[in-house]
Amino acid sequence: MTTPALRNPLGVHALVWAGNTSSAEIERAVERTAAHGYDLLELSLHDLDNLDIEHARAQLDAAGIAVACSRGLAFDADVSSDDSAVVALGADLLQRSLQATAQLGGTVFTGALYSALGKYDRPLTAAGRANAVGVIRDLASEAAGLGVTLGLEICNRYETNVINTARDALRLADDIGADNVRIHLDTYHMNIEEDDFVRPVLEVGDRLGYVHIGENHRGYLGQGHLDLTGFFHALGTIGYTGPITFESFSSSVVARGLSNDLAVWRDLWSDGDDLAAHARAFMANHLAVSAPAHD
Amino acid sequence: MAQNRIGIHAGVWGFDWSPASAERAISSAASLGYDLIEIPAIDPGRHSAVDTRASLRRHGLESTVSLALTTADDITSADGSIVARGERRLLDAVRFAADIGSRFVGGVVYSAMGRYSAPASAEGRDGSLAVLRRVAVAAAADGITLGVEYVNRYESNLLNTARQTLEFLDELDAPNAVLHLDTFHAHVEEADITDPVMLAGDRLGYIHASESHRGPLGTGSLDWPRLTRTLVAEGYRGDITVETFSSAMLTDDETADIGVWRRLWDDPDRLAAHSLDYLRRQLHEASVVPTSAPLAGSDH
Repeated sequence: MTTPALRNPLGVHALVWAGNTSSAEIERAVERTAAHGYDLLELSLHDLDNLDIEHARAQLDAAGIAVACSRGLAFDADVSSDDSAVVALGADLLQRSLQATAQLGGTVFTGALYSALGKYDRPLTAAGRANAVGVIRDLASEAAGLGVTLGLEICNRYETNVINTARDALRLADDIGADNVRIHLDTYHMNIEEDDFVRPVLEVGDRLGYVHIGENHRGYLGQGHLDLTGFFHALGTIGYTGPITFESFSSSVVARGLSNDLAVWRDLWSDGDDLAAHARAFMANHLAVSAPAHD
Repeated sequence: MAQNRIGIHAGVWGFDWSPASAERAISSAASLGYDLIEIPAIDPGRHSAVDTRASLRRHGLESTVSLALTTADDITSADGSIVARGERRLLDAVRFAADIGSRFVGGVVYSAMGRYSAPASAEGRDGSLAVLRRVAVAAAADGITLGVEYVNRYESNLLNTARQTLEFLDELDAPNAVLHLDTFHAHVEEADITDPVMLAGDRLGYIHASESHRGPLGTGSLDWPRLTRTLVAEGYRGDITVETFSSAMLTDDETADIGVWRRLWDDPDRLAAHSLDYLRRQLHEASVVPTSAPLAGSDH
């Protein structure tokens, strides 16, 4: 029996390797990603101003590694705000991040593009939601010209008040109304918000554009209690062929400031190589057995 | 079959605790068949212990008390005046519990409930322990147990797992302090929902039964059969209190505090009836002892 080719590119989040996006850290992240047999590196653009894009692209191209870019916004640059000046700052950040994604050779720009990444102190307003819809609609139009797909990453209640479930995200995408705006499911967030790991996948169906696999505590896959078997089966059922990226954070690697932003207070692992090797094998094994049987 | 008292969090009916609201929550919980109601001591100064006690007696309902500290009264703070406020709030909650006849005060009693922007410090942890030692002594004088409820990473930087909480309890070294398990929080942080039960053993003193998304029990991904079988097998006899929130019953500030941006249910009485039925069935099914005897009437 030969091992069938995987139907999805497998990715790894750069924070498994590196705490920042300095050139040295990017070199290391690209090299480790390739060494472990991953197809794709997800780069967070949270420190865009200190990212040497040309250097990173050269590293990625030389290693034959694809890139996806992600980010969340901040409360002072939040496109779901009622304050037009704050919305404008968020829109500018998104626009520059989209340009960086294209310059890096990426075709996916995803994350909490629609909101600050953090705990809100009030519910979303209708005006704030309309602002987010308008900004992302414009961004999608620009992204289409660059061959980039935008992802709406559904995050838990402590990270956003805009979309916490697949249904919320589908409604937001409907209102944006752009073909290159897709849904991004993350199993870590799904654990907190969704009814299970199958129904949301079926509801999103062919509008699924990106996937994060993270354990319930964001440590080693399989070490927690998530029904990842059910989730991979559901991906097989809808015939998903897009990227599947492993995401995990430990305070031993992630820079303190970012750990604080992510509420990472525990060292869930210390050896990124062991973690990434394990995660790739875990995902590949699940993919290999999760396609629907054909009689 | 284990005989646990089954309770429900008063926040199901909202956090307002005017005499009329208290009467509504207490009468609803009692008439649905609950054994107890958990009353949040949000601001004991506003609470009328006399009214609450009378209402509880009228309806034959028992009670527990809970609270969560805030950044304004965080006993892990480096600011002594903030710590002092926290100690005062904890002692007020103990007093309120004694006044209404409760024997339990639990919750986020060791830090603020909220999103921290830095890890917990050793000094903050020590400060928290020092305050809680005094609070535990005061509680013991009234025959009250103190529950230390660990919560998820977005609600505290100090205690996120049962293991951390048991270490904390070891250092606290108070005979009337117990681990207070909340299944919603454990579902985010623990490798397995039964780990806290197994780790804590007889130091598990109180449980919040809360679904993975804090909606109606059974509608999320929490493995209730596995949890209840473990509780029965381990002989847990303590209280199990349903905790669920919906923006339907909360003010915007309360919604933001808890982070529940959705209407997870609409009718508190229907929700409460369902929760009790669901939990009792789970506990009953978990208590059924498999038998190897042939089924009655079976010919083969």
